[in-house]
Amino acid sequence: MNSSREIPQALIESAHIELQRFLNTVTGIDFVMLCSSDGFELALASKKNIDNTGKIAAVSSSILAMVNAFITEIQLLGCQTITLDADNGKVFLTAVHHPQHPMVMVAVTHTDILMGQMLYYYKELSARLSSAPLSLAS
Amino acid sequence: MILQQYKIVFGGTMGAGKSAAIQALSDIPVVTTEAVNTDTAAHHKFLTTVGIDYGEISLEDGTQIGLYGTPGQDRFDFMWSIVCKGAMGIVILIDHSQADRLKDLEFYLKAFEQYGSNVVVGITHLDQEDQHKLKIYRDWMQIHQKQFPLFAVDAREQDDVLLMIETLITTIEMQAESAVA
Repeated sequence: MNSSREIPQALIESAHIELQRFLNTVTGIDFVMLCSSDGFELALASKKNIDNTGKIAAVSSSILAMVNAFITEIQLLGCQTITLDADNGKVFLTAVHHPQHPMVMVAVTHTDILMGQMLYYYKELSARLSSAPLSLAS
Repeated sequence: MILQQYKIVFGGTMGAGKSAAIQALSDIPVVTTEAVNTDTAAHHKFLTTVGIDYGEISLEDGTQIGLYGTPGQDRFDFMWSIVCKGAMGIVILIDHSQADRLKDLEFYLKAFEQYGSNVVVGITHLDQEDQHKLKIYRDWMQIHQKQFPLFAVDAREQDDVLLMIETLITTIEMQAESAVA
């Protein structure tokens, strides 16, 4: 019964195709990764060589959990996406609310990315991953 | 009466009872950052802490203590240095039911000792009749010249956890007194 919490390989493979398509569709994305909500890397599409993806997955899950705790404490609801604006790039963190396998997605982009386009496709991708068929998830 | 605000951090093995200990002790609803545990090979519990737990307790003398729980898995070790900043004491909980419990003790002591010297060790998941099994931890500490207070605790029991907290506070007060003398 507990093994149902482990993310199935079919779901990971399907997600990998989705991430690669997203990376190729939206201009200005360097890196997009799907992680389990407890901080394990699941799937990755990247235009850069990044060797600490495991750590990025763990930090991403921590940040999202901490921000959600903060949001709850100040009595706001439904924080879905966090945007971090650095000097040399932007980071987008979002929860993927799959009914069986809650996950976290992180994308790193150029600073001059078209935010509207990015967020539109990012949310669309998140929604698609959230509604991945349960046949992939069991 | 002087009110003091202390910060105490809970570290140690995944599933040792860090979140349970803070839940048992806290006067306020505990802030948690739990996620579904997908690493069932490491532990079968359903949820695991991925950020921090936060609770508070006020002792009878008015001392106020912030209780901070950390994730146990070493992939979250970046949180440990962040959470331990300014801590007056560290509770390390070790799950006795794990086969590598002495290696776990060594690992977490090494990791957390760098953030503070006021450390207590709590061994959890010991049955009543297994109390004598603390000997392996005492022997290990003696061999490795560690002199930290060691307790067998049920992390769900307020008195057990409180004893460790009071030990940390007593150590700090004794250090303060000897510094004045």
